[in-house]
Amino acid sequence: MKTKIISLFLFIILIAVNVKGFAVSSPYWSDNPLIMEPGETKIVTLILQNMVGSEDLIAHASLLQGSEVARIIDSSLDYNVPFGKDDIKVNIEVTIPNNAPLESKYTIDVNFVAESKNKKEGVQLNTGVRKLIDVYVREVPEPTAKATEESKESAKKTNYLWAIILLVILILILIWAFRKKGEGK
Amino acid sequence: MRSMEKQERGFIVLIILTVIILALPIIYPPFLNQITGRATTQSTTVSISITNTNPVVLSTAGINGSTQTITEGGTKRVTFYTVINDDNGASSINNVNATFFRSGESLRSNLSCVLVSNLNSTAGNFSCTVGTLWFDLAAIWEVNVTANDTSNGKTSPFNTSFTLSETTGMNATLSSITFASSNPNTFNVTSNNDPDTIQNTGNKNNTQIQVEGITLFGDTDSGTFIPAANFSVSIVTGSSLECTNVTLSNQTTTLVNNTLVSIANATLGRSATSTRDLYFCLMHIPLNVTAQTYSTGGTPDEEDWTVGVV
Repeated sequence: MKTKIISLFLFIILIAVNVKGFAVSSPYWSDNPLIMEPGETKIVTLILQNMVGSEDLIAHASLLQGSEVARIIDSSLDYNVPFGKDDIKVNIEVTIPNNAPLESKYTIDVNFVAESKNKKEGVQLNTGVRKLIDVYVREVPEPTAKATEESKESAKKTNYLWAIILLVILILILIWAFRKKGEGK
Repeated sequence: MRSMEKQERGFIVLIILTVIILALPIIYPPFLNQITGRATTQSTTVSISITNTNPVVLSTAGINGSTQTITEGGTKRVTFYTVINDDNGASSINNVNATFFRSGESLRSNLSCVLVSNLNSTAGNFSCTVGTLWFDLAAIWEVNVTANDTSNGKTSPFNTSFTLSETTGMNATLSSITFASSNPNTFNVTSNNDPDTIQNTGNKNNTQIQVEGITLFGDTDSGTFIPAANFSVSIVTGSSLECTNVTLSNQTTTLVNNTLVSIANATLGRSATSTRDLYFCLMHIPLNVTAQTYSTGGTPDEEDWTVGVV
């Protein structure tokens, strides 16, 4: 009976979704990772865009991973991204500890959740974009002059080797010739 | 006897000469060229009358080594400048072209750069604008500039490069998702207005779609609720396939409260037409819920759900 009464009511779940286009650009990605040395600090700038949707957005930024080396250094973590803008900057400071071992890797996972400025009745569905930045700890390679030096060294060694071979051949021939001469006497 | 000694001496001299000949190319490398019949050099006077001088690309600015971004879901117009010189006079520079090239990608070009100003009697500064599309590969792109003059003389190839950064973006088509009125303890209530079509508006390949669900409390009486884990999302539909308890778990994903979860097989490729349809299911309405609206609004005002990409 109770069930019947309840069934008379409408049971509705409305999940209101605003049409929202949102994008995040990064100068570093899986094929182009960030490479830093121990003790080094760099500012990485991400770009927020709102070019496809139809309304102004507020994007909230948070670090899901990598807080041991990265922090967002802007005054607020809520970014106004008006419709038609493609140049909203998010600055992240990345600092590699002095004692970080070479070849170690950090992953910075930045999550952006964009919500409409114009809240509507019911339930809204936000738009999210996550950017992953891999940071590899490596020594910055020496200038290419070093490679040139190595190549010159190698050429020198080859020349010395040839000279030694020729000298040995000469000595062997002379020994053979003198022996022959001695036998003749 | 004497003649034998003479012979031996001659033999030793011969050996020494052989060694010297072998050593000579090391001590004096051009020696080899001289004994192998290579033609000797000789000066001669040649007179050719050339009536036209080909134009030359002197420089480019605003693009060399720069980092560019695409515009989500559209065309980004990248403008840079190039200086062309023609000894026959700047006015004889007829046509300046610029292209962006990346192996495996469509060529992007501007077939007629615009003269901004003449820098002097022989050089002109040209403005080139090349459009990159939102699905162009994130990578280093080569920039090629060429110019013709009025006598059809052409410049030698001039190359530089820029980095096109990676953009992750999405667009959702639906303004709302609704579920039909249902009774408590009902199973597999599918949304009656999906799919929510998600488009890849960036140049990241294999973008993964994720959804974060939030437990829904009653809008007027928060004493009862529908857990986020009672909802599922899928890229398949029909016969309630979007409901986890109907289909295989590797085709449909159950939501987890307050956590971004990757939707099974919901990836977006890098192309102009890369979209995925998402279908929502309320797998079970708890028996004890009271009759009212359940949403993220009302009291309490819960966090919104999120559909995102990574």
